[in-house]
Formats: sequence, C-alpha cells, structure tokens
Amino acid sequence: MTAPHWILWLSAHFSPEQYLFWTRWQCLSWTLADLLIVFCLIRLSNQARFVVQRSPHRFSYAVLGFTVLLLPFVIASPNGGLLFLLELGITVPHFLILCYLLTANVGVYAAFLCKVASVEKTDNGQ
Amino acid sequence: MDMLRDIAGTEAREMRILFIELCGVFWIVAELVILFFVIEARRHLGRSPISAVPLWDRVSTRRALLFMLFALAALGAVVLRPLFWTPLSWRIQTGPLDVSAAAMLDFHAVLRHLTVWAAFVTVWVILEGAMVYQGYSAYRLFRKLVLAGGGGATRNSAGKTVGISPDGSSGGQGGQASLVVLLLLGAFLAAGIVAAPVFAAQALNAPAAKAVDSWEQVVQLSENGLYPYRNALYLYLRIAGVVWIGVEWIAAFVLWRAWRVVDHALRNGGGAS
Repeated sequence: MTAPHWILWLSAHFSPEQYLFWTRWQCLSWTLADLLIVFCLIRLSNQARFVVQRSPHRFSYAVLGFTVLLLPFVIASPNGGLLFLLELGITVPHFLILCYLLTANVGVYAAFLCKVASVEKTDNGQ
Repeated sequence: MDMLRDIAGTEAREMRILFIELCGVFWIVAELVILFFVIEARRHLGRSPISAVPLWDRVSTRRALLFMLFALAALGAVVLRPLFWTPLSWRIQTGPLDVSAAAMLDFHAVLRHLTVWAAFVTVWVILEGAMVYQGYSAYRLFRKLVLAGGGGATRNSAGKTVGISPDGSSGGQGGQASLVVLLLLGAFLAAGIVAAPVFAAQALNAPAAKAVDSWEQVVQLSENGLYPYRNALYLYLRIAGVVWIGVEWIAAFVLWRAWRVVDHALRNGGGAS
C-alpha cells in the first residue's frame, strides 16, 4: 500500500524511538509548568482565604506533593504506555485540584478582590 | 483463525483506544471548565466597582453551559462511535473474516484513533492559548486594580473611560467574539490537517492477502500500512507539544506574577484587617 508523498516525507523524518525520546522530555517540561501553575493557584487561593479569614487549603498541597513523587518516573519510563499512565496519574489530580480550587473559592475570590480594591483606594487617599 | 484469540486481541486493542480517548475527553472538558472560570474572572475584574460577590451573567453562563454540553456530546460521539459502528471484534463474532479485510478494518480503526488524538492535542493547544490570552488580560486588570487603586477601567489622556465599561462587558465582548472566531478557525484548521491522512487512506488498497492464521499477523499486516501515518502524526504531535509547552510556561509565569502582586498587595495593604 502506498501512502501519499507528503506523508512518506514526514514519516521519513521521524521514528517511534524519536517520538518516545522527545515525548519523555516534553512531558517533563509541561509537567513542571503544570506543577508551577497548580502551586501558584493554591498559594493565590490561600492568600485570598487569608484575607477573608478562612482556613487555608492543605490537602491540595498533599495531592500536589504526590504528583511530584511521580515525576522521576516520567524520564525513566521504558515505553509509551507507561508514560501515558504516569501522565494520567499526574495530570488528573492537577486538573481536579484546579477545578476544585476554582469552584470552591468563587465567593472567596470576589470578596478578596473587593477588599484589595478598597484597601488600595484607602491607601491612595481616594 | 482461532476466533476466541482474535476476539480477545481485537477487544483489548479497542478497549485501549477507548480508554485513551476517554482520558482525552476528560482533559478537554477540564480545560473548558477552567477556561470558563478564567473568562469569568476577567469579566469580574473588568467591573467597576468590583463586586464583593460573584455576579453570574445568566445569558453568558447558560451559553457556556450549553456549549460545554454540546462539546461533551460531540466528543462522546467521536469517541464512542466505533463501538456502534460494528467494530472488528463484533464482526469476528459473526463469522470468520478474510485476513486482508480484518487487517484493513484494524488499519482504519487505528488510523481513526491517531487522527482523533491529533485533533484532541490541537484542541488542547487552542484551549490553553485561549486560557493564557484571557488569563493575561485578567492579570493586567488585576495589577492595574492593585497599583492604581480600585476600578478596572482606565482613562485616556482626554479623561474618557476606555477599555472596560461599568458592567465590565464592552471591552470583554470584543475579546470574547475574537476568541470564539479564533477557536472556530483553529478547530476547522485542525480538523482539516488531521483529517487529510484519513481521507488519503480511504483510497488505499487492502493489504495483500497472505497465508496468515493469527491475530498477531493481522496486526503486523495492519501496522505495516500504518507506520508512515503513525510517524507523520507522531511528528505533528511533538511539534504541537513545543507550542503547548510554550503556552503552559507563559500561563505558569502569569500565575506566578499574579501571586507576587497579591503578596505585594497584602504586605502593603494590611491583609486580613
């Protein structure tokens, strides 16, 4: 069977081995970015909760910590299947944390922003 | 062919594909939910004065919910379609299949999966890009709010309020419309790019039938035809991965900056007073 020319050309420049190699490193890179995103959102949420005098999130940190433990296995994963499962174990908790923080703190964020705005206004003598 | 082994082999392959694609649907839906909140945050920050309670615009919330349900239904249809379109494992149960026909069916099933996966990856990149665009706009409004002292609106040299109207909608609506256009254009472009190999593959001839008598040989025959498409789509996925990583790090940087701005505001503003 013959594939179209441009498919064959693309195919000649890439192999499954190269795919696995680059997937590992790309996976590591976007997972690190994800970790920073989730960490910053937990921090932001806790800052907002501090201002409106609510107790901070702690369990989210524990879940985030669990996903950090999986990170070294990403580089060591021997095949694409295991890499996918690892990525699943890392990103599903991340998405759940993000969705939980955003839904649980909707009112907190609004109250916090209002308070920050009023504090800044007072400071500026308005 | 040993029919039981064939059925087990095809079912395992189909279940693996279904599992992977369902994970993809979860990721897309989660990103849509996050994008919704980012857009709402941007809209909230655009209001002047800032409300102490979340103000849900009924029309836009309902629209977002309908869009989300439609997206979920469409994705569900894409992912579950092979189960209802006589998958190979069901066909085998009705009677022994010609080897070349079995290989061709497997070839198309896997190529469909690769195409769907490439489309999912494209959608993630577009959604992440939209999130960063909206998130950065929200961050700029927030920073302005903190540094200038209240109110999301800015004034030009003539003293006119520009950018955001009192209900926070005018500046946002233009952004929303362009975002929708961008999403649609991106989706069509992605659909075109990823569909091309599939249409090309429809014209292929069946693999030459040989004296094969096992499921493994059928898979091998199918994989022989698949490898150029697989490699080309792998290359596409990794190029998309570079864009995706860039967007993710921008998102991380924006959130980190937002955290620092809040930190600064809390230190100077007294925090929980």
